[in-house]
Amino acid sequence: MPVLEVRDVGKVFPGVIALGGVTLNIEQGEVRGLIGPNGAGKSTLITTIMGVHRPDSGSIWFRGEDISRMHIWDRVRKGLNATHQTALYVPELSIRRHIELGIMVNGFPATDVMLIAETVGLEGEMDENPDVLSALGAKKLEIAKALSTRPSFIMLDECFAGLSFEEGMEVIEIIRKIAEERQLTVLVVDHNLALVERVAHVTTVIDRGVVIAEGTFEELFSNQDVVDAYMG
Amino acid sequence: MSRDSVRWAATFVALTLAAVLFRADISFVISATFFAIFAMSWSFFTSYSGYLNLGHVIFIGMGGYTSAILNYHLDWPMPVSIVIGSIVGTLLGWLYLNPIHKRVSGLSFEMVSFLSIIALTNLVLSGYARPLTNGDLGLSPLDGIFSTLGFAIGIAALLCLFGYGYSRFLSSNSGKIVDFARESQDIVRTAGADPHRYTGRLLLLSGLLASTGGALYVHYSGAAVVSNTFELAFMIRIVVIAIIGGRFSLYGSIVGAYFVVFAGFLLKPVVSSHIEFLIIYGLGFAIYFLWPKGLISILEVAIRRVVPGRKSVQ
Ligand SMILES: Nc1ncnc2c1ncn2[C@@H]1O[C@H](COP(=O)(O)OP(=O)(O)O)[C@@H](O)[C@H]1O
Ligand SMILES: [Mg+2]
Repeated sequence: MPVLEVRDVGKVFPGVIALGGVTLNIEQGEVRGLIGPNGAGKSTLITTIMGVHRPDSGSIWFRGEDISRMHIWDRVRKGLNATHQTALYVPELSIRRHIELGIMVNGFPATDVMLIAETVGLEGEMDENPDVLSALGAKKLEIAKALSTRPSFIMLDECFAGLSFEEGMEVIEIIRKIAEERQLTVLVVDHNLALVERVAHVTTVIDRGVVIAEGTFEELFSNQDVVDAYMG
Repeated sequence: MSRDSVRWAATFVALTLAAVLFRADISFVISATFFAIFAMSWSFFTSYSGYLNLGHVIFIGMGGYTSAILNYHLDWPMPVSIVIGSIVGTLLGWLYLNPIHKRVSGLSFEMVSFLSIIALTNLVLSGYARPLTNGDLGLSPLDGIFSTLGFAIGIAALLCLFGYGYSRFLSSNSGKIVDFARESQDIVRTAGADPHRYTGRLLLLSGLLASTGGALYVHYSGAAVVSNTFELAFMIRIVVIAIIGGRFSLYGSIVGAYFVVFAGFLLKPVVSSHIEFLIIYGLGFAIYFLWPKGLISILEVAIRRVVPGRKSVQ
């Protein structure tokens, strides 16, 4: 049984069909890629899975349970979490406090703070405020915040955006590490195909709110629809 | 002893000294302490939750009127009326404002809370409520609390006890979660919690002190009328006091209340009440303009000069 099942989910914003019936199954332990042109609906898919929006149609199942109508915080407590396309933080509060938040809320041991900081490589900047972070640092903080709630499934939106190739490789190392050490299932969303290819087992392509292909990169780019979506 | 307990004990000692020193004019001391209670309970919710609550007097009025109704209509003994009034007022206010704060934020909350007190004032004065509230005559006479040194010290103790409790809440885990909720509800949601659970607790604690203060205040005033409970002017006075004193500090409300009440004490013999308010609020505005963190921020600098190495007052 898949960890996450997105069943024919539709989401309409005024004047835009952001998701036009998306179906997606992700298996335990998988690192799945999700690619698609700008405005394809990738972020909307993540925020709908998280519960920021209610789907207009279809349903979302997590570990065999319909979570479509659950609050965000209940989904988080079930083991779901995501990073944000634009880092979400409070500039006046330290990085340590950001990581502590999820730990405090869920009553996890305080030792989690340093473990997470070491996993993402923020242990040297714990008492700084998030404003001082580089683009890479901000991605790390997003991942750290998501890890603080001890998720079993994590979605990383635009996880390489604004990073150099080397920095992207550093994020990939973190993804590999968390997938392995924490038995996390991961959905990696980005534009940078070269980087997604390096980390994802299988990749899904969406365009204009619908899934147009799924497979390894080799399979995908022998598919004319995918090539058209990216060229057109 | 924790830093908070030392500070609040020191505050209590200072207020007691002020009461003893000014015992010839003890009613001013008591009045200042009441306003400190109202302003501190207001700013505890408003400053730390990020919701501007213009309906705080709902707690004061519900507490005050409940106690007054029990005492006036049913002849319940005053202490019992006050205790029941405090509890009922807290619950009624909270059951009303808590769902609203969950549904609307920002300007909408301000508008709804503001319109609520206008509506409540009119309801209390209306024919429907008159059998219960006596309309604009108010409920009077009530069993009274007298202006004594003992009472002045008693409510100073109430103020400082809540001040201490509030400080402890703010430095607890719940307080740390509120620090995030104030700036971004989403960050708390994605951490796995409903932010309103925490801001709702702030509201409840804010209401408990306000409602207790309101129940005591009507008996101290000898009457429950809209002008010492639900009225907009009363609400504004509370907000102005908190802002002048410094609304991001619990101690700021005490400084603001003593400043405004004692400025009134000095001006009253000299000028008319309109001029008095003009001067006090004008002064308050100037202070706010020059030191947006209020009088407490000036005081802090002074304290730090006298007691070196002291960290800023929360
Ligand atoms: N909150 C919103 N309100 C209105 N339209 C939105 C909103 N979020 C996304 N959209 C629209 O939905 C479409 C999909 O957007 P998005 O999911 O952000 O795409 P992607 O992440 O793949 O770039 C776009 O046309 C975008 O303008
Ligand atoms: Mg996006």
